[in-house]
Amino acid sequence: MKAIWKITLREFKIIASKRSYFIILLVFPPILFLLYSFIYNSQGLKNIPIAVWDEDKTELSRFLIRQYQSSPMVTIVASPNSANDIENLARTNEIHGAVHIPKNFESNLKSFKGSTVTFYRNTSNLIFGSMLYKAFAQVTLTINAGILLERFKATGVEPETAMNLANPIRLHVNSLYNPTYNYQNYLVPGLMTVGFQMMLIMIAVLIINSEWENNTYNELLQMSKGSTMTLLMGKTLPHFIIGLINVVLMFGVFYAVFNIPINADVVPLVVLFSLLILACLAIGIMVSVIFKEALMASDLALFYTSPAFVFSGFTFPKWAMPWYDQFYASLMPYTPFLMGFFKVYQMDAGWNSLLPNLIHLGWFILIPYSIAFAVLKIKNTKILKLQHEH
Amino acid sequence: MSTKNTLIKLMLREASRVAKDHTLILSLLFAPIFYAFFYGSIYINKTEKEVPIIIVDNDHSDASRTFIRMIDESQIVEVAIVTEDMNEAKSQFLHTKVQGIISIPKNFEADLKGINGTDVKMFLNTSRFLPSNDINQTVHEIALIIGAGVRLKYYQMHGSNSTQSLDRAMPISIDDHTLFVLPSTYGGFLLPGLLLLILQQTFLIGMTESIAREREQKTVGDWLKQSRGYLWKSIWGKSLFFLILYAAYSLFFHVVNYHVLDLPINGSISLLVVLLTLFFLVLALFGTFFGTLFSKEIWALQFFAFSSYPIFLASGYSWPLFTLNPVIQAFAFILPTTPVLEAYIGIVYKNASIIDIQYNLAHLLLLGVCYGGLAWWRMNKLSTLEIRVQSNKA
Repeated sequence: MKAIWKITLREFKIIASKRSYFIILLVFPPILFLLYSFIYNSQGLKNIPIAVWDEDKTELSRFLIRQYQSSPMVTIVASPNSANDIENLARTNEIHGAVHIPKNFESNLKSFKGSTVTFYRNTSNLIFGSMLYKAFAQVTLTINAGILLERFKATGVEPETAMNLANPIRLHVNSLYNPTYNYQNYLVPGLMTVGFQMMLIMIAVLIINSEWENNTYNELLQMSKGSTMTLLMGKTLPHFIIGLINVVLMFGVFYAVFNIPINADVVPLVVLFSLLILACLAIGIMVSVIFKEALMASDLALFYTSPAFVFSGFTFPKWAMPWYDQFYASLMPYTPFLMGFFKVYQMDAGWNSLLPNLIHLGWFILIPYSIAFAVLKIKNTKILKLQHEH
Repeated sequence: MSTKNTLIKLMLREASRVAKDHTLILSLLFAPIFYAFFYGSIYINKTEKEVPIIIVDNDHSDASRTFIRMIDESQIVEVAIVTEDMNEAKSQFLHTKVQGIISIPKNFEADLKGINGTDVKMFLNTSRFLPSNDINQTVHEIALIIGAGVRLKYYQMHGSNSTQSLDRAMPISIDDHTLFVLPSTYGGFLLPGLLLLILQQTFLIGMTESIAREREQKTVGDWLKQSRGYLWKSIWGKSLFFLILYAAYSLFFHVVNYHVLDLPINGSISLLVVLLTLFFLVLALFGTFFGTLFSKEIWALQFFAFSSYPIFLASGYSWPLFTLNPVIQAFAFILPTTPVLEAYIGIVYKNASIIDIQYNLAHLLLLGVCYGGLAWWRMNKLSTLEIRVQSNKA
């Protein structure tokens, strides 16, 4: 125990004295967390410039335009006269969507003929285009229902029946966990945690090989009294503590300052993050033990960790990926962590639901630590044998 | 020695240095190709299909079965389970086995036939946007179709012919029209930006690592000596290797990857060449400036490893720039990524002309001048330091 503590203290001193360790473990996290929080701090889309091509220019078409304008999401900035005009405006990003109200819109509706309103969607930004379409469809369908209601009432249909005819299936949508589709609440926690796991692995790959590069490994081995387990525990502990400090920083400072809601109990959250930290450290240490060259180990860590965000299924679901990408995703600790994180942080889903993710994370601790232990044990035995011979 | 010969000599020197450094080989020769295919493959299906949902059918009627079938037949949503038990639905939902619950009430069919209206409940997991949006849109569209069908029957029963009934059932129809010839899928939206970002980040990692390595291995003197003290020649001689390599990658990406991923190039190829040439020239100056700030190769790698996500997110590609915080907008302004991504999407997807992207080109030029100045300043500083070291030695 004493030996573990000694190695832990020594590792803390290394972290404090090595500029790159200090920067990545203690300077980068708050900067990254702040940057991510700031990027989406405006929270929602507002006043997106759109165009309206009104070929009808009647009371009803103007009413429709006023309804579109009343949506806080859009602001009408142009009145083009053709589809070509719309394309030109969209090409230079002056507008991000457009509505076309056809000729005879009002007269067709008054004479009980149908009329088609076109929404021009700029899919070069899909998320953006979808949200605009949603706002447009909502307004159009509400007006549709209003017209139907008036028509039925005019033919003597009872108001309640008219309502039921205008909207036979009343769809009650309960949007759970992020009901306002707040982009900050959706994306920032994921971005923070992916940066966090990257930081842990990028440093962990240097934990052992840097001792060889600096010719201090024998000193470390002596402090551990030849015990590989002691050495690994002493080296892991400071990084685990710093990892937890960063978790506290994430939730205690950035979530609080930027009003990101947490629906979770503290205990499952702490357990989940502890397992992620240990999993990242285990993988990093395993690489560090196998690859003696720090730069090579860092390159490998970068290759391994940087795809974590897109492969985890966070922005694009795993079930839509080809099988080999799904397989690769399952080889990264971030994937089960993220699944568990959303269950805990947003859904407050309970232990039963969380358990498969915790077990999956557990494998990422057990297997890499076992490999690291075995490889290091062989190397230590050789070193100790050599020392004994000399 | 002529400028041309000096540049070629420095380029060959760089090629030989890269060949001897396996981390640079990994970053420059393996990473761009690997990442492009690896990341690209995620979105090879372009859009998500069969988002699983569970339906609690309390009616068991022909109408409820039709409703369920219509949802299941949609490309995007898959009815994974039909049950009567709401608790089972909740459990599947909390285990994230399904992304939504739809509850069909008792008397669904009777209420539709009797024009009483019916209340269908939908629970969506909005912790992730794409699946919840897709379920929401699909189910709404199907409910609208069924609603229009109910009205159609009503009008037909009250003496209207089929055409009249159809017009009356849906007074205003919506035509969802896609601008330009664009793939309206998530993959189609993300892939061009992702490919360009892969080119940019691997270029920067390679170049900054190479410059930092000059400092780490104390070969700056040799680098400058080869250019006979002309700083611009030093910069462009080293950059030439990267420019040629990334010209080849750009060609490969736009021919092979675009073909494999079935992405269109709607605009002018010559304008695309102009844009990418300017971009890589600016990137070379940007990389030279940042590369000279690191005295160890590993620090350059670590710095740029962490920069990929912030750069991409701040560039306005995934979320419009004008809605971002002013501090982030200022940060985005100093990155070459911001103007190039906008102009790039303009050309490949919107068939933009040089006039359409003139501000982006001017922005890139301005950044080129600024980073050129900074790169020269840093190189001058390194050169002065080197002269001092040499004179101390002497």
